[in-house]
Parts: sequence; structure tokens; C-alpha cells
Amino acid sequence: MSRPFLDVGDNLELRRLDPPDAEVLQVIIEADRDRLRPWMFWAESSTVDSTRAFIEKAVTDERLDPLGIVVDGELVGVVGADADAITGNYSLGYWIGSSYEGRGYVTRACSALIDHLFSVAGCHRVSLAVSVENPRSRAIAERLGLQQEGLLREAHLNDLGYQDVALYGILAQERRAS
Amino acid sequence: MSPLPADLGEGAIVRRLTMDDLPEVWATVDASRDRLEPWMPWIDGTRTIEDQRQWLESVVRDEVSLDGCGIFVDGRYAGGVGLRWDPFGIKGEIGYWISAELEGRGLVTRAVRVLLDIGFREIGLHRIEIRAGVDNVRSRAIPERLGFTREGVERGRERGSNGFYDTVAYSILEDEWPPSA
Repeated sequence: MSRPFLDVGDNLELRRLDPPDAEVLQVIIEADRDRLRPWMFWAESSTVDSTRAFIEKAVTDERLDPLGIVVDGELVGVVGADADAITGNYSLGYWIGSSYEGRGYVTRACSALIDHLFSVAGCHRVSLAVSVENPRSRAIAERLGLQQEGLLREAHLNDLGYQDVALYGILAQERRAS
Repeated sequence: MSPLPADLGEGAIVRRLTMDDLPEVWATVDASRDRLEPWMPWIDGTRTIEDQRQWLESVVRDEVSLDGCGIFVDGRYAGGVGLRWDPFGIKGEIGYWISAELEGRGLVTRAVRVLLDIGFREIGLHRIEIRAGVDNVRSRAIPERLGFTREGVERGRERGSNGFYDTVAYSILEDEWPPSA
């Protein structure tokens, strides 16, 4: 069932999701719903069926969104890189269960995925958009060495109201230089 | 969307495209190729009238965007404008181009005003974006003239015939439109 995609090392890997993974993901989503809801539009109404339908629709052999974050063989979160059909640039997204937060898994997973996008997929740019009210997520962008390129005013809405969104980007030549 | 077609003055209108516009849209795009190629990511994939037909079919059918609008001067197709928005109705984005012979008359600026009115008043968007190449001075002049705020530069975001280029991100918020001055 498990289809490894990238071995990040040290018991961390990324793999393509399969429809039965919806059950494991939904356990995490339900436990963390209040924490995910402000940032993930799907979190409020998510069910096993909607998560399974998303996996069935989104997972193909070509797409890199979504991929499961797997720690010691256990699925603990999701990371994805969504391609622009015309430019081949990618935008990143991610979430992880609260009990696995704070250990660097998302940062390492994204770092390996960015390397793959530049060296294997041959893309030019990878971007990431994060609400300024989500400091943990912004910290990941900064640890990954992405450069903040702009601040989009009131571009995200949740229960806290409209928030500015920080836009980050990294180019292939910067990754090679680092 | 009741406000379309909208009168832009001097014999010009902006309206949604229909399949009947295909021959003229294709002829104008094909004749404008040299001018579009450095900036427009889609032109490389628009090589035949069949490619153009596929695009036109998709925007004519699309009821949840105004991506396929045209500027017509004295009944002749002069260029494209479009507004699309996210599924939550919060953020919109406007794009545009105009044929060389009709450039400089303010037609695009007036068509963008119409789309801003529709986006904020009819659709209820909170924020509308325009992106333009850093070196595309004429394109950048439009959001700057309309009171948009410059929010950043996205490096290598778009690709034209000269390769990847940086884009300036502009936006205007619902409470900033129309500008009071």
C-alpha cells in the first residue's frame, strides 16, 4: 500500500497517499480540527469521505500534491507541491498533527521536496504563502531559506478576520548556491 | 452579471466573449504574437485556431469567472480582459492585453474599471490583484493609475519568450474602490 516517494532520512519519508489513508488522516484532523481550521479551508467540514474523495481526485503519478509525511512508518501529516501548468513553478503547502509538531519534520520534508523540485522536476521557482498570524508556519519558510518577496494585504480570512499574507519564494540558482 | 456589456466611450465596449468571436479573436491574437510573446505565458500554447477554440470554449462555459471578456472598438475585437476569483469570493485577479494599434487610448484602464466595479459590487470580492512584469512599463501603469498598492515583487513568477521574468504584485481592497480623489 505504501508507495515511497522520497526517503528524507532518519526515519522520515514522503509517500504518495492512497484512499485508505483517509482514515488515519481523519483521526488527526478531528483531534486537531480547532488548530487547523484557521489556516486550512477544508478543516471545518472535513470527513473521512471528503478526505478520501480528495485523495482519489488529487493523487496521480505526476502530481506532487498531496504527499504523506511518514515518521517511523506512521502517517502524521501532509505536504504538497502544486505545479503551475504553464510555467512549471511550484507552490508549497503543508500541515502536521500537533503531537508531531515542533520536531522539524515539516522543515526537513519540505527541504527534501524543494531539492527534488529543482534537481529532478527542473523547476525554476518554488513559492509559499503564509498568513502573518501563523508564526510557526512562517518560521518554516524562513528556515527553508525562502526569501520574503511581498506582503499581500488582507488576503486570508478566518475567524480572526482578514489577515495579511507573507509571500515567500526561492529560485533554483539560490538553492544551488546554498 | 448585469453590467456587461459596458460602454467604454468612443465606440468601445467590454463584454463577455461568445463562440461567434472565435475567428476574430484568433486573427487578432495571431497578428499580435510578437507583442504578446515576451509577457503572456499562454501565447506559446496558442498556436492554432484549434488551441484558441479550446480556450474560448472553456471561458464561455465558465459561469464562475469573467475570465473571457473582450474589448471591442466599433464592433471589432481589440484585446482581452478578464477577472477571475477564488472559490470563497474573497480574492480576484484581473489580466488584460490590447492590440498595438489601439494602445494608448485608455481602453484597458476603462475596461479594468468596469471589472473592478463588478468584482467589488456584484461579486462582493474583498481584494483584487493585478500582476505585471517589472519591465512591462505600460502594463504596470494601469494598476498604478487606478490607485492600486504595490505589495511586492515575485521573482521568476511568469515565463515569456525571453524566459522567466519578475512580476510586481499590486492589489486594491474593496474599501479603496473607487478612489475618493
